[in-house]
Amino acid sequence: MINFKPFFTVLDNDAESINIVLGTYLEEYGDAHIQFKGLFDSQNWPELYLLAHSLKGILVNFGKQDIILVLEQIEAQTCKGEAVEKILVDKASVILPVIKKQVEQALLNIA
Amino acid sequence: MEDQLNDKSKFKDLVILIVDDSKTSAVLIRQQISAFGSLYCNIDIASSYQDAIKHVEHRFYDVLILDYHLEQCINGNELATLLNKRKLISNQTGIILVSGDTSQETVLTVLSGEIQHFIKKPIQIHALGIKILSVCADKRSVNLAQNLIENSYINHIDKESPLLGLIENSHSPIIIESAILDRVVKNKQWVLLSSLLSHSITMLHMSKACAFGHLYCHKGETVEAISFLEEFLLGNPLAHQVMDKLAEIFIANERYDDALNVAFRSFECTPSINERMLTATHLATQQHDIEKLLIIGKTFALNLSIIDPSWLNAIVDYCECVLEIIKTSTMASQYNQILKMMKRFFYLTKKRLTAPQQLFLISYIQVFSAQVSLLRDNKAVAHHSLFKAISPHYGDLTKLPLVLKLKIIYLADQFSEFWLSEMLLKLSVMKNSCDKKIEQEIVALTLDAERNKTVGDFLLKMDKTRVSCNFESTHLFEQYQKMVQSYPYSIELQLLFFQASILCNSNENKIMQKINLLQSDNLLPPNWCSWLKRIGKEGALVALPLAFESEEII
Repeated sequence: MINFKPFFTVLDNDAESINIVLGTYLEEYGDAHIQFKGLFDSQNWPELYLLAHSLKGILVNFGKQDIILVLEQIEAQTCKGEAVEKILVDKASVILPVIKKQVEQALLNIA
Repeated sequence: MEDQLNDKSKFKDLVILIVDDSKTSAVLIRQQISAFGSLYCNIDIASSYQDAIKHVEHRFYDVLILDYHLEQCINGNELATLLNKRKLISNQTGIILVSGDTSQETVLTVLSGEIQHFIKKPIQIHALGIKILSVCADKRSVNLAQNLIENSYINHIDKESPLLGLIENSHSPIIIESAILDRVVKNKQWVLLSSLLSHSITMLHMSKACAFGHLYCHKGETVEAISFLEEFLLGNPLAHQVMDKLAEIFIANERYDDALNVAFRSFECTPSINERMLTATHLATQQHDIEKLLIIGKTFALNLSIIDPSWLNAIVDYCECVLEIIKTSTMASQYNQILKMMKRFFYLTKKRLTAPQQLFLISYIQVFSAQVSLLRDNKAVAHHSLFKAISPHYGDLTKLPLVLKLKIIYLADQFSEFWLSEMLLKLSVMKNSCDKKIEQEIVALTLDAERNKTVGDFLLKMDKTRVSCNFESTHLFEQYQKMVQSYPYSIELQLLFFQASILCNSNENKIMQKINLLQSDNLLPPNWCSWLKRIGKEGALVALPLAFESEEII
């Protein structure tokens, strides 16, 4: 379960800002698990690296979670354009939809 | 600084650009900044480096907030360098690099450029506000200091006190002092430098250590300079500017082995900085240290900055050094090892480049392989490689990078392909380059009396032959045959000889084979390809056209 409190602090607990950022997250990364799978299937390691890196940059605001460790491992394996282990992409594909649901719930709570 | 965070007027008029390929990250930063009182309309977002360039071309920004890992092969530091090189931003704009990656290489690469402010993700709202305010304050102080340093109406003694005041009153005294010392060293204001250093109250930092090194050298105290800098390096093993200064001193004192070691260390700290790569490369070549030279190539290829306008110049310069080594390599195993590594170098480099850049690299690879073939005295293969290098660009020679034009000119001259070298030279003199050395080489080529005489003699002989023979086939054939013996590779001459041979029914198989090979590989200029087809249909009396319509190209 994500602890949104530190993230809300990053935005000074401003409801409008929280709404905007979480909304943008869903728009950009709502289907991140599908993006990961697609990039893995097409063996596009450089793009996979960038996706993992960008996503980590955002999710790190939601506190230390399992997904950060997974994304860091994906980053480490793909940063020199080399292949990533399937198990890591599978893990990300399981966790990311859960995060999406939690973000959607957080948005509902704010509303 | 803390209390200023609550003063919304400090942020209200600031114009800020956030460059981040993640929209969510950019929006998050925008929302954080707006909490301080910045207006939405004053905060722009760019999601790519191209987008960022468009923004800075149209609007002045007080602060740029750049994500370090922007896109494949491009980082925020390189973007800042590009914007500076293209003069799209000045020291009126402050830059903050943002990254979740605080690895040694990332931080050093950032701090080896002009960016002094780095903030780690996740960004805390308070830290961001303070960082923006300090960037603006530092920018003002640095501008004041630079104006004062440059003011020739104020003497050094009167500059010292206000400069020290700016350092003491700053929230980032080391940043301000570094900017001041770097500028004073650049201007060689040794008296001012000496008094600033003697009154400095900051701890010893990288710029200050370098400034001491410069001062020692200026006084002729080289041994003291080296021992001072080496001692600083022991306590600060990643101080790349100090390594650069040490390398410079070692080179000046002909201690090339020491220079190579320290230049190599500096390059390893910041492998995407071309200048450091080239210093290490030249020293490795001079010391004939093949192992280091090849490591430099591999590391550079893996870290090549593709938005640096001098990316190809750096590759060419590196390859020229490798050619120097090949020239002196007597062992076949060593030669093969170098060529194997160069294949890998080009493969890795190509992987990093964009599609249009790859086209230029592929051409340069052909130039490089032509040069290698020439070293092995394999002229025919080298000649063929020349055509492979230039043929993809027949449609628009103007777009060829200047360094590539220059290398092709040298190669074309060796084979008396003056139709090509003269056209490229004409195009080169009209173009400005990011590399002044290349521009000077072009100017020197145009003024090279020996070259001009060789080209002039060739053209004169061609004209004389044309006029004197007046299409009298046997005479024409004999004249061209003589010329081909003197200029065995000139394709223009071979086409004319081929034409004359048809006219006098002589079967010149060797020439035909050469022409057919170039034609079948689509390597001849389109005008000459069409001409060959025309004479096949209409007979050999059709005159050979120019390789290019020069007006169209220019």
